[in-house]
Amino acid sequence: MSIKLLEVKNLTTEFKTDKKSLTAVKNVSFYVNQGEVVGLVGESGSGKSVTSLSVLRLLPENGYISEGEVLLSQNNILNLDQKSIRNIRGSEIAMIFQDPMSSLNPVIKVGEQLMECTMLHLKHTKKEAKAHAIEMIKQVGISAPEDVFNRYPHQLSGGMSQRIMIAMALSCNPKVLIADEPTTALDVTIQAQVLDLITEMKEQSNIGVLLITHDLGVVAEMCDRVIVMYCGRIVESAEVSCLFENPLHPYTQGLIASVPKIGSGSDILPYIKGRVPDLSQMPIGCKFAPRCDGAIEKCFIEEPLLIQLDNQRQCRCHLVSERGERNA
Amino acid sequence: MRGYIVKRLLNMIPIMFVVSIVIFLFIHMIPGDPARLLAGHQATFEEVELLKEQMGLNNSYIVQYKDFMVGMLTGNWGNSLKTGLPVGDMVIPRMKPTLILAIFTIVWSVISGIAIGIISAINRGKWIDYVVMIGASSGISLPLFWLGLMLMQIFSVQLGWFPTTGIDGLKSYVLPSITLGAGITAMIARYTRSSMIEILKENYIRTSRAKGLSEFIVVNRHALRNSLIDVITIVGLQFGFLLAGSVLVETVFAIPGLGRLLIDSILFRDYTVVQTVLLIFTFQFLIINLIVDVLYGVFNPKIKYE
Repeated sequence: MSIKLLEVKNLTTEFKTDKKSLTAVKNVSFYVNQGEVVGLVGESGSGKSVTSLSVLRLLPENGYISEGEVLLSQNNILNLDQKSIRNIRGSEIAMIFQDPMSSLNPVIKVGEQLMECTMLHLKHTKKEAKAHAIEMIKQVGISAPEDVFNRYPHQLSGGMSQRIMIAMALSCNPKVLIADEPTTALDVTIQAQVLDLITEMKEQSNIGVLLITHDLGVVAEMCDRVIVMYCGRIVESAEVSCLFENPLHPYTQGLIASVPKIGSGSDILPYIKGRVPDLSQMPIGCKFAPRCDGAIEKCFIEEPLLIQLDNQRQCRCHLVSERGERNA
Repeated sequence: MRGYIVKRLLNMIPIMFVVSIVIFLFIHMIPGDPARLLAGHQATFEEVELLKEQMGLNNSYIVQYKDFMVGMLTGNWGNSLKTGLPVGDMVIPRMKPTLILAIFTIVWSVISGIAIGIISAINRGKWIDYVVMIGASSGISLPLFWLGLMLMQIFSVQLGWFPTTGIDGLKSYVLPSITLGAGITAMIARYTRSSMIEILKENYIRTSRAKGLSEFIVVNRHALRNSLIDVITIVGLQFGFLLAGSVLVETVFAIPGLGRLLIDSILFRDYTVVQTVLLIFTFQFLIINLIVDVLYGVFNPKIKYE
């Protein structure tokens, strides 16, 4: 029924520093189907953004992909030359970013920035591109599109900028949209509108969406499946309802517990103690062990494997695996 | 925009007025006496005094300044103390070589400075960046007169490609212009490089790459337009330097321009000529500043002039 649009296999991304290479993402595998929203969740520094930038090979200069494959319709796009990967960026896989205000070029009119995309990939003439750009601005729910077309980014609000970014991303009918924390920089009311817009656009053109966020509320509302990352590794992945009903990994449990609940009667907000370890000082065993309440001796010595529990469910935890074995 | 330019032009009037006072006072503070220089060493005290009286140098400073200003405003710039010719006749023919030299230099040094800066920024940390930046640092540190003499020695004396001194067609401007522009090019290159390096890290550059644009368009369309806002500031400042530089370069290459005229006139304490030339330089500087400010508005859409 569902077509795998984007598949990432064993992706490992490293960063060169003065002394040594640091591994920001290790052995990450996941896929995005047509018409599906996959959430990538984790704290800051968990490797979500690096994963998404790796897919389009937009890593900063000192970052490089040391292992793995990124399959777009079964073709590994990591082997492509620069020119071919550019043909994919924006046309097959489009991306929107965290901070819409700084993601638009401040000295170029919004409309021109929109036109660039279709002139490049769809070979539009200036006239066609302009008509298409105005049409896209209209589609993302901005009234007076002609007026906005001629504005500069500083004349737009944050929400409008993100709408423009979405219009830009979708203007060449991509198959996959990667949204890197698309609502983090926006007001709460605007957040909901932008998320609705993404959902609407997804349904209209039946694309696959990889939604990167640290907001579990967003995940619950938007996603079909969720991948939880910690320290550059996938620690759990599941269908969204399963994950919220029965989180297996202690980290996921902690994340869900830290979401404030109205009327819980408690004055103290639960949180996960400790901090995400620095990339250069990773624990040897389970990366979460130092922060985990249930950690046993084994957790500190040996890194657990990502175990396939059932069709849609994976978990990387000694406690869970051992429990599973005992039950079996 | 037009209103803004008119306002700025009107603002120049008080500035020119203040500058004229400063110029007047400075010239009269320099020791030396044009009457004595004109009369020669053998002249008697009485002869010098007579000459002074004729030149109006015995009047009080206030009267002298008033005469100078009235002359300026009515278009009667007075006569040179040295040659007795009307100042206008001396100054105006001298403007052409200076202007040609300045425009030549502005054009090539801005274009090449920005180009070098971009090449250096996108090849940051590679050998080409090091070579270019070592060149730029030397360009900034080389004394103008030394560079001028070296160029003259190689290209005029040994190779015979260009005339050594004086003006003989546009060819004569090549070496002076290289000499004058070297430091400016180097400065612009360094500024462009550092500004480009910063801007290439911006989020919107990542967006333009994510759109699939080629690196050439990312750099020259998206990054360069932003970095020009930074670079134009330094370009404006450098052209103040250009005025000072032209004095040196015109002396080295014996170009009959305003700079040479200024030096000669100062040596002779030719007050009327010095005052006029300095006022022209001041005006030129103010105009360049105005052009830079207007260009800000062109490159930066956040600036709107009312």
